[in-house]
Amino acid sequence: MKRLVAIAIALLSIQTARLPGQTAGQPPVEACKPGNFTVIGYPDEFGPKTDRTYRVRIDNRFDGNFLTQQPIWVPVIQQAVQKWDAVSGADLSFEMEGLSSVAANAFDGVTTIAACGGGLFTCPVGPPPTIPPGPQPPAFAQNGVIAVTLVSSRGGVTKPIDDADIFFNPEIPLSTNPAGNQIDFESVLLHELGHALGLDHNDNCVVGPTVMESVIGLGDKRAIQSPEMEGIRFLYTEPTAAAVRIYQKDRTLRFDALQGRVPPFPEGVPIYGRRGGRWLATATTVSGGNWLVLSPPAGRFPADGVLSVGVNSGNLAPGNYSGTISVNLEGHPGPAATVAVTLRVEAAQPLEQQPFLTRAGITAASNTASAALAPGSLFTLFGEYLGATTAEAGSAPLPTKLGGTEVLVNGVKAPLLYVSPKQINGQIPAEVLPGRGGILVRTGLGQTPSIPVDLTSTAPEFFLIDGDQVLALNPNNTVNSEANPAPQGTFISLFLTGQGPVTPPVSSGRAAPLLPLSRVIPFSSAQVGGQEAKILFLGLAPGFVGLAQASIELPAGLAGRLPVSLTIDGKTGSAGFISVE
Amino acid sequence: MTLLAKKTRFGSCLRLAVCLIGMALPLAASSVVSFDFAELSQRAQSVIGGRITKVVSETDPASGYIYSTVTVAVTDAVPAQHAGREYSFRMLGGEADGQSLYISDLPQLKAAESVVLFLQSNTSTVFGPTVGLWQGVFFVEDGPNGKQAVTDSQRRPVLGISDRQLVRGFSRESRGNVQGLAAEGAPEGLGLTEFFNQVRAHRGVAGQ
Repeated sequence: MKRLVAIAIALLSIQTARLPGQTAGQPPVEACKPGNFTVIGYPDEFGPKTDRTYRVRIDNRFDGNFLTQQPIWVPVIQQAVQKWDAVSGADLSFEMEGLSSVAANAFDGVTTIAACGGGLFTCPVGPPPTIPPGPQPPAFAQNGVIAVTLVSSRGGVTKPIDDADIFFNPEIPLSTNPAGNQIDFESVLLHELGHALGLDHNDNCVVGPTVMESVIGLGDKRAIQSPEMEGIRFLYTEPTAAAVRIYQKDRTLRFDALQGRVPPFPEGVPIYGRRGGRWLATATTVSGGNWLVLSPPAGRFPADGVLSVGVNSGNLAPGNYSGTISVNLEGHPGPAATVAVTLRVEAAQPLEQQPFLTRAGITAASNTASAALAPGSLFTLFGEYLGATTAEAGSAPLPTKLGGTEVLVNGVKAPLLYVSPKQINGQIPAEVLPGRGGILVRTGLGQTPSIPVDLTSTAPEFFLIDGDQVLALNPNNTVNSEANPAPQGTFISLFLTGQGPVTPPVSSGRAAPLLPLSRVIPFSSAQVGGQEAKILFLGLAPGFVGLAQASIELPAGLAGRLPVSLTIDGKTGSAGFISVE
Repeated sequence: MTLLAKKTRFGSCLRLAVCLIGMALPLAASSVVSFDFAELSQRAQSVIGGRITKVVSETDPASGYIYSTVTVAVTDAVPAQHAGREYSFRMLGGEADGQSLYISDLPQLKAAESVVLFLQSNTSTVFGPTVGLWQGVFFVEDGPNGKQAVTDSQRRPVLGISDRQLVRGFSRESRGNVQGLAAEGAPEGLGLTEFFNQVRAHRGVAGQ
């Protein structure tokens, strides 16, 4: 069997039993754009500042309890502005106006950075608050606001940013050189300046610390990275740069058709550009006439964000055809975004070359003797003519079309890992609901009927090695086996799929994040050698799609080749064996 | 037709990469301190649930900023004596005279929405009265089976509370076209009564 994933296993330290809760306040994954950023206001997004110049002023009452020494803070403010100004490839400039006694105003066109003098926060009286020792932040008064950015627009089709002002709460223990219980001032300012420029949080777009992530660790320092740079290049496009963006995975389309038969389904290509921009799409073909069909051929961002691409293949002779779709903003001198389209037309084939799948061929990927499947779990399909060729997904997020093959689960395209003529590996979309559903496979030569399948809320199945040995890691990160048993009284990490709902949820086809860890929601229990075993962690393995990890404590006094089983939400998967000495 | 032999082979293709996670540091939101559900419940002077009957936005002539006055017809509350009353508060942001004011980390409320709000003792701040800005704002929406369920400020259903933390599911938007399919066994989220029971439990005051 083709390996499912190049399984790299992340061992989760048992010290991570409790993490702070995921914070919300970030736009959903649907708001992400190529480059891994979002724009404020989604779905009614703001457009870039019309004059593309940010005049920045520091309120000279920037002197709350934590800001008693302007010589320390003002240079950091100037430095943060310079860091945004230094991002290349954006048609954007900053003018520092220095200290001023003029209060912030929503439409004065000046980005004022203020603390208590700005009117939103009250200047504290008395001595500065005492910062208690220890890793936890002090019990902040009021509603916990560190800083806010107010972004104003006079509206209209392009809804441009007319002004943005930033206010800091003087009662928060910010520092230019933060200790373990302080928050880095420059990192927060970079974040707020990002809002002022039009960027929103990018937690759902990219894993890892960035300036526009909605959370920051105490003592952490953040620097502007690629997602933020791409964001302002998108909003403040230079005349010589592309103004329309298309995800890399959507820049090539392949259609397979049979001569004289019904054309394949159109594909939707998401296109992205700054709000209000009117886009035009054109199609050119190398041969075969105008077989490329675009709908709509023009639109305006962000409302018309998907270009439907279809082919009129019915009258084309067998052969290979190619074409190109170009999308650009009306009147924009920079290069267009392009999509390369290939079409293969074959003479009608005998029916037996259409994809063939039966219920017996639908299995859990971890244990192909099991047909138990749940939303988010990995599956394997066995059949005939399931793919025209052998293809593997490169990296997450996984494609939903691989080698010309698609798998639909309850009508939703499933992320695919591997496709060959006789086998498909993929993930049940996490967003589908449990219950009776159907799986069908579609290739360029046809599609199977929808094969009934019962999805349960969870369907835990261990990955097995050579029969009934559970794929597991010992505490020293070596693979557990009879020749390499785990020591008694330690813990072991087991790998499985079919874990069911997790929190925070991870979208289909996307790799699970490291921070925060995504944990299984339903009640679960484990048994080793017939005894209850404590679960130290049960959740998604960071960096992988649909792969779960259970770290369990080995009961004392048990040794040998021991059966292990896992129950999640009342459903117990197939037992396997681990070795303990 | 003969199916392939169904045997999983990992063997030598297994590659291991080990990632150790150290003790996690506390986090703060970049613009607002992060509160867990227990902190939200305990910091709130009162928690109210109801329907927004009116949102009136206007521009402050001095600063040019837009403020919105939100009125809620309260149906559920902790403490219970707030139920049956109207509650109004003023907050920054909104749309007025064709203009928009966006506040980072602050959800905009609209008339006819059903909400649960965690209100702090000082209800006159310019950001509005909710504890932790968006963290203290929840919505009540129709779930997949037609039952009303509580969602967070991003419209993700609140499935429960575990170890003081909110457990959230997928938003309706991300579920996309799978809405309307059979929802047997699907996580729906807490109903309003269950949610308020959790609030009471985490405030540590039974029956309040």
